[in-house]
Amino acid sequence: MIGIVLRVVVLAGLYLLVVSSVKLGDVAIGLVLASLVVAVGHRRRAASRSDSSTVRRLAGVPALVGGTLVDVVTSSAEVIRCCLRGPPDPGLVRLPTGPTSPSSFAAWGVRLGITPNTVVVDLDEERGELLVHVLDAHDPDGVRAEQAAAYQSRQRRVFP
Amino acid sequence: MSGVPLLVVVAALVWVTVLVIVGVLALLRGRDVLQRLIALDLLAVLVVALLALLSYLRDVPHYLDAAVALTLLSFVATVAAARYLATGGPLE
Amino acid sequence: MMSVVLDVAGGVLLVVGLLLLTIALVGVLRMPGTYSQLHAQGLATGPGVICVLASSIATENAATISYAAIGIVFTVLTSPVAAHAIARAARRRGAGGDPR
Repeated sequence: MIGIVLRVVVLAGLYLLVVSSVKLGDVAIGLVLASLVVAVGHRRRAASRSDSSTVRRLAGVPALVGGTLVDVVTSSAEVIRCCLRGPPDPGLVRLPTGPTSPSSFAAWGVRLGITPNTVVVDLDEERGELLVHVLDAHDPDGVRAEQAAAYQSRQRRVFP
Repeated sequence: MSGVPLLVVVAALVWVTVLVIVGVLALLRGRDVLQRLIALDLLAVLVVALLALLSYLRDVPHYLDAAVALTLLSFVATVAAARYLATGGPLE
Repeated sequence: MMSVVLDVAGGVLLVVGLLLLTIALVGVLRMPGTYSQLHAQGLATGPGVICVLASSIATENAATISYAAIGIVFTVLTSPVAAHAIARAARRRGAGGDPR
């Protein structure tokens, strides 16, 4: 239930940003459109989660956003160094994600894609594996350990 | 206009224009069709920055509308071109 | 007072964004392979353009800031997908080599 209300509010907020006004009529139209979209999407979905798990996932969102921001800043610094001096040892690395759901894969992809030092090249949903390109691949096990630690501390509570 | 001094915004506009020219050179110099695609995507980002700066300079918010539309259009164009290049044809 | 703080923050964000765009262009011109160029391009399409759009806070105009916020949201959602599409096309065309 909380999840449905949250989706409606977020979609209505995006609509209000697009029309950039907070008049009563615009708010009402936004809420109606958002509820229509959520109702259509909800019918296709098989099972919805319980309220307590939704609250627990929401509690992890600040850590996810803040941690990803920290990652973006540190990896930007690394890429700037590589841009000015030349890449040390670029290469492809296999990154095991374990058995995960499609939404978790999407979160992995956006998280790795928005940080400039990793580019997602290919993904294998059956084996639970991502193929990632990094600029400094002389220590592939170190890259895997670093990404697993980032998953544990940032993503696991929101998109397990 | 309130906000960042006018001189800074004008200097930024001149600088981004220079970057757009260099970006066109990078587009012409690409060795591979994918490298040209990367340069084209970068050029779209530079034009988005140019539109944002223009909107700050003239205080017209609607230039940013064009910037958002350009972001989405360049996204669709990049994905379509990359898919085309990956499969070898639109009908495959 | 608040206005001065916002002006300084906007100016700093603008300068940082322009620096990131410049460095990304230098990287695209200098990097050897397609994948390495993608890293440099990600510097511009991610943090660079976000910083330039975020400097709209200095204008203190609600419409400008809300459009810039939409721009940031769409950039965050689309730029990883575009980079992944290009990288997958490069992989299909045989770039890269053996994964480690």
